[in-house]
Amino acid sequence: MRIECPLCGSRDRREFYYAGHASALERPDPAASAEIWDNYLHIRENLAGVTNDLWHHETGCGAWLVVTRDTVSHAVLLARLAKRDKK
Amino acid sequence: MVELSFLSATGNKLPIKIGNVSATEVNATLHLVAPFHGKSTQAATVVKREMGLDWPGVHELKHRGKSYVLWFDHSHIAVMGEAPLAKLARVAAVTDVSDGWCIVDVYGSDVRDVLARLTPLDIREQHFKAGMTQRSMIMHMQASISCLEKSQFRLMVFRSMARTLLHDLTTAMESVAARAQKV
Amino acid sequence: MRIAGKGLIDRDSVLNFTFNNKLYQGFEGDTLASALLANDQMLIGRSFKYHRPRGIMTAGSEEPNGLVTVQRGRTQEPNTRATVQQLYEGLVARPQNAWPSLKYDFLGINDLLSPFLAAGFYYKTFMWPKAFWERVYEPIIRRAAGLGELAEAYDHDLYEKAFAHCDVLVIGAGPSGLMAAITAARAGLDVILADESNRLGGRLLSEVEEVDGVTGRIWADAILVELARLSNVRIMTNTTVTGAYDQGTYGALERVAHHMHLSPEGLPLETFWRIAARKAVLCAGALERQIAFPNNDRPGIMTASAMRTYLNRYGVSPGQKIAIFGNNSDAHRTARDFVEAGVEVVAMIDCRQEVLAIGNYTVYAGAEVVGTSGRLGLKAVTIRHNGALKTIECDALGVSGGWNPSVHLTCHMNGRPVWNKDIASFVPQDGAVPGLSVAGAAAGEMSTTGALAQGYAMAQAIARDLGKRPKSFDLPLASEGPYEITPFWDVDGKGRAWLDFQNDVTTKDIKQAAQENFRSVEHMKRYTTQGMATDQGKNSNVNALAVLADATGRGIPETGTTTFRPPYIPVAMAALGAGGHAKGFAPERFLTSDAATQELKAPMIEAGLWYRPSYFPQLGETHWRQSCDREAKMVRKTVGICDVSTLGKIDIQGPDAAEFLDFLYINSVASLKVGKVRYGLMLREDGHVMDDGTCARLGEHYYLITTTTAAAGQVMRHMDFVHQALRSDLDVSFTSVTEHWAQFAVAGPAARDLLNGILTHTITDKTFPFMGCGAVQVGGVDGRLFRISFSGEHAYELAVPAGYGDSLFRLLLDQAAGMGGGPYGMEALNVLRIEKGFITHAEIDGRTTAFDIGMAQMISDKKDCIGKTMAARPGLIGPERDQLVGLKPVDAIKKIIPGAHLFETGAEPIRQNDQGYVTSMCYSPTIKSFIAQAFLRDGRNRIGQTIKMVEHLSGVSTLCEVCDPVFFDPEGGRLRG
Repeated sequence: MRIECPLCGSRDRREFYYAGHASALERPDPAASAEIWDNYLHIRENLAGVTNDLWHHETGCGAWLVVTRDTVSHAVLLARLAKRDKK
Repeated sequence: MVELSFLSATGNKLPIKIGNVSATEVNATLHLVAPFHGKSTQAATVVKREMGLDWPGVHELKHRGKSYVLWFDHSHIAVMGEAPLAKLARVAAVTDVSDGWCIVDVYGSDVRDVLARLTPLDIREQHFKAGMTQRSMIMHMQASISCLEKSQFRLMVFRSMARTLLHDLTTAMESVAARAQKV
Repeated sequence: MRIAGKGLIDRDSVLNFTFNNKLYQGFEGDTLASALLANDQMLIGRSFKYHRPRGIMTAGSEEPNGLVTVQRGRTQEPNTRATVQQLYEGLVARPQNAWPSLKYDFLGINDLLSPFLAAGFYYKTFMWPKAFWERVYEPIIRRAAGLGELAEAYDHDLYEKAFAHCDVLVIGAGPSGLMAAITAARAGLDVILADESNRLGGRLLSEVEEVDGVTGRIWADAILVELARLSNVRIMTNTTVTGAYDQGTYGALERVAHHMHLSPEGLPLETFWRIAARKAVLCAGALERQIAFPNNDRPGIMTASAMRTYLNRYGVSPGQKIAIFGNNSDAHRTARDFVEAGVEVVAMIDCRQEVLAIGNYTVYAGAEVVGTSGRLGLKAVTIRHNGALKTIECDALGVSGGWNPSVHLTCHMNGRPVWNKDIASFVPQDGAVPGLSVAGAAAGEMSTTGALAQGYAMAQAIARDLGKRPKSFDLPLASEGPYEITPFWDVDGKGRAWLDFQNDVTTKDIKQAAQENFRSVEHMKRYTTQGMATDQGKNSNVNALAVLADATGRGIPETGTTTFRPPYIPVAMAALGAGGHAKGFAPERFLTSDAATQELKAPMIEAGLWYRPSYFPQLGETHWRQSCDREAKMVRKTVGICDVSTLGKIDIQGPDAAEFLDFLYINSVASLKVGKVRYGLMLREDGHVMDDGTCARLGEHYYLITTTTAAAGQVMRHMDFVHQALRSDLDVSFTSVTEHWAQFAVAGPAARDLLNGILTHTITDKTFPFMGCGAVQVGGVDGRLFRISFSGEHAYELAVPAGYGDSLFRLLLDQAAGMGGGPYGMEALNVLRIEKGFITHAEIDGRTTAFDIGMAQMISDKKDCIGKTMAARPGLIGPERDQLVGLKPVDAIKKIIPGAHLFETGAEPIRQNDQGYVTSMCYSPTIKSFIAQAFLRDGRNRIGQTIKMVEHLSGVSTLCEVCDPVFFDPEGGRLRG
């Protein structure tokens, strides 16, 4: 498996650390309800199809990426900086 | 009065030469530099004015004499050798990591064949040219790999892993040298 | 026998080799198989199940029968395919599955018992009596099972992994592969051309045919000369592409030294390549299949195309009287070639009704082979022709049931091949592997001219895809005519007809599977073991499907195929795991004090990747506890030195550094004064403790934090995440400086005196109060000093750039020695911290909360931080939680065991009564008792009670007093000293 890092280009999967769904970017307000926090931390869709995941280019540039990929075909469709998503 | 003595990361185990590839250890000051928000231009100006070098873009390495500036990660560049640290520190986070890395230059005509056994990076000549620097792995280790000349690379791993680097490097060098001998 | 004037072998270069303890000769350019056939050695081994005599069946990596064990230097390699093994001077090979000898094999009895050994025999037979399984059945089965034998000795061979990158990977160097490679190369693309053989050309080396007006081999050689001259082409011989993976990654096994008797020092036996290719073309050709007819497995029976390979490439005829049995036009080429080579062809048996000979040989049209004879080698075949039986004497029979395209790699990502009735076989599904196109016979294009054209077309398309403008050039033409086939799978007749030669599966087994309702192809496969041997049924699977289709009354496409998975050929685990054994398993991290520590003969323990000293034995100490007790007492009495460089150190700078750290730590960092250090705790977002450490404020916008050794990487990644993904608005940057600083704890009442003996400027309680930090100079080097303590003593941590670590450590030991102190290791460090109630990852193991460890009050209510919301969640706080306490045995000699569980004194020690568990334990020479840390239900309210510790594994039960976790100096007077 290879991921196209926006900074480094196409790299072998071994350089990356996988960290689950990109919904982790949407941190709730501290005062949000227990249900919202529970959803944020523990509830995942686990869809067969296109999904957005967080990957850390740990042994590369150190950037956190949001990777759009298809869990059925294994196609990696897009990788962008998580930082950009937040700004 | 006591005086502390300096020991290189490999403990003076280099240079070595196997086949046509050589490895030597580099001892140089190394600082990581990350400009504060909105200070990138000022930082670049300092580097340009004091070092005569352009700020390195992603995967770029530039040098003048023994002073280098190189892209280091998503937020840092590194300066190696003489550098205007005090001036940079006004506009950027500057961190001394001189002793944190084991720095080894490898060179020789088969050096890319040696690297092909150590890193998943694309090390083909037209894809990893002189003046490029990348972060990747050397076997299991996080590494910085720079191409100084067509057949000369600078490898950096954490200092504590120097022995592992030498083990992995010599294994690859021996293999490549043996292939050249093979009938 | 050798045939004069034929073959690509070097007859001037004679090679001596040994098979079955007998000396033979072959030539440079031979495989072991061709050399054995040249010596008329038809019998190679015994089959796996029935121990039937077997010979060479193919000329390639798909070989099911010709498996031998090769002894190479100190190692022996079982299941080496004689058809792949290049011959070298001094090669030693042995047959397999034969005892006491190849000719008289004991388990040959299985063949006579075959009526009882059909599919499902094991499942049905070894059911009862139950007690027989372990004592009788299993030992018998184990002795008989397995192909070949392992050396059972350490494997001294080197295996290597390597990476390669290219624009186009061309898999296979036959006509289509060569054409694809040269086309892509001429278009300026970076090409890797990989082929299984040591010589490129594929079938062109095995056939008598012309390409572009010259013999195929000469055409191939000319292309090779051009390819070899181009710097954008890399040719990989002896390299099999074994698997297709995501995003254009391919696995490839290169056999580097299998053809060498003695190889240069450092040369690997095999290299496993990971090739990243933007595009790939599969030009793997096709494999010829058998026809199932009674006793079709005798030595001397092989595929018709293999016969041609042996004749045309190796100058060998497998017999003196050749017969051919086929259902297609291609089989006739074998008859023609042997006639032209002067070998007697006694019969061309073609099951098609209307056929014409293409040479001077006898054709039996509409005929089939119904039986064979010859115990250790073929003597005759019986054919049915025009309703009559006829026996024809022959010593070699070439069989062709047609060709199966090598679709394997196209199935590695779940692609399903599709049935093509024109060639009566499966062809690749379009786009089965993204970026992989297929050309030539692998795509079902059976003519050489067509294969050349497809290789060209695929490469041209790829070049355009990759932004090149390839020039077109004239395609070469080949001399061979079209391929015509009439599907024919098995002959009805008396006697067993083999499909899978390696696993001894016959048509009868498949029919039985169908009869017993294992109708799904995947069920049939598992019930009969068809295609499950090392050859993965490369030349038998399609036949087996056809027989199953027939037995279940369905068509072949409806029956479907089993799934091809990587690897395409057997790959040694050593090759897959290459680079990962011994020192290559993981990096080793060594302290700057390592050399001095080794000189003191300290046993080392692994802490993550680090090697740290356990203890420093002194003369007369025979047990680690003696050393540990002495070291712990030494620290409490005078001074001890410990290398603590393994703790993670992160340098944090920027105008928003304080705000960032406040978001990471539960406690406030912004309020910390410059020159001071504070203990800090980080949570995960789910409210559990992630790590603890210290935070030092070096400047207004400059912090240095420490992490535990084990969590250094995790904390760094977490910080990267929090900054980039959650708070990139904060102007802060950070980097690890763990490796830059060598840091040593100097702990004990004499710590300051020791330091003042070496520091350039004297320190006092005023300049360095408890939890103070600042710059110091030592031995001409700028360092940092932190007055922090993990021992409970008056203690410091002194850091210098790592280059001076060795020197400083030796200096500190010298100084300590003069004061009655010395080094201490991990064991004493652990004792000291347990005495003080300090925690490690034994306590913060990912399941404990700040509340559990008694630090809930540290959570600042003035700010948000990671984990704060969830830390207050019901269930993570309250009396039902297991809370950190100290334990001490009521009777001092009794042991406490980490991992043991806690119960009420009167309660039965069962899960339902569980009250908590022990995390850490030591013998405290200060308290003079075993002491422990534990998590106990509502523990803080139970101090002073007695609880029962039960360790079920060793059956130890100890009554313990529940204590405050701080056993020693609870007021902390010594820290402030």
